[in-house]
Amino acid sequence: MVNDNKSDTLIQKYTVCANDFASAGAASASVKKTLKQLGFSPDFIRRTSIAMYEGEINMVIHGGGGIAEAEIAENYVKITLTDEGPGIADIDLAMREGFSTASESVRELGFGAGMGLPNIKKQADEINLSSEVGVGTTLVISLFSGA
Amino acid sequence: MTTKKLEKELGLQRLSGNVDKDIESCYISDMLSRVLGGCQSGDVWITVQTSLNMVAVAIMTEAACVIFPEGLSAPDNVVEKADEEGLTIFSSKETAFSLATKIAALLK
Ligand SMILES: Nc1ncnc2c1ncn2[C@@H]1O[C@H](COP(=O)(O)OP(=O)(O)OP(=O)(O)O)[C@@H](O)[C@H]1O
Ligand SMILES: [Mg+2]
Repeated sequence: MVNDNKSDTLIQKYTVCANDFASAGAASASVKKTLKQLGFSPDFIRRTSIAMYEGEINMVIHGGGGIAEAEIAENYVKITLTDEGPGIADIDLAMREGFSTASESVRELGFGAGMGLPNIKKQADEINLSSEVGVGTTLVISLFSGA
Repeated sequence: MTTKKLEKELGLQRLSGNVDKDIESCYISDMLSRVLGGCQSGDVWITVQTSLNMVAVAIMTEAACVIFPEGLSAPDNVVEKADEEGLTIFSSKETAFSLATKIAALLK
């Protein structure tokens, strides 16, 4: 993790490794701890960490690993997940509940319901998924904390 | 209802964790993204998913505890991780259905 403090925002950056199911979720767990320390509301923390975890796991399973960056400010959190994996050919299809290209071995670990992206959309206030086949995928997840 | 009371009432075997937590309801699924979307904070999560990712999902959803049905146990590294994170995992010889009906009765 890299901490890069500007005056009013905290930036945390993590490397997420491909197909490493033992450490998968470490970035999200770390951000969750930080949000707790900073005193965000339990519901906000829960929504943020679920959304980030789904995105992080997608990079592990589908994206060939990547970079997770959390920008934490007083009233918002912006998570940017960037990978240089195979990309997504049809984003509308990928966003649909139940659509999954997960392999049999990944399904045995409990992933591959095709519910991750829909769930991220449900938990977050804003998402932006952009992808190019053969180049990679970037998912930006934003949540605004009340007020 | 709390996790310690549940342990006694259902005769559960504790595999990890020792923090007593309040129980709101119960959720059953083994597909992790379904759980991440459906399991609510304070739920007892019944699952046969005994991998490290199960621990992460239980933490993210703020489940009150996890119960493995049908006598399932967890690998040592999973128990260690759960202890580290303060996650209570129980095991029971009973089926998910039997556990759920008993939990429902206790929550009435
Ligand atoms: N970072 C990524 N790179 C390439 N493809 C991706 C990426 N993220 C998602 N996808 C594609 O979008 C599909 C749907 O993703 P989603 O997270 O909704 O479901 P899943 O990961 O297959 O299953 P689940 O999340 O329920 O475990 C994936 O199966 C995959 O084809
Ligand atoms: Mg997914």
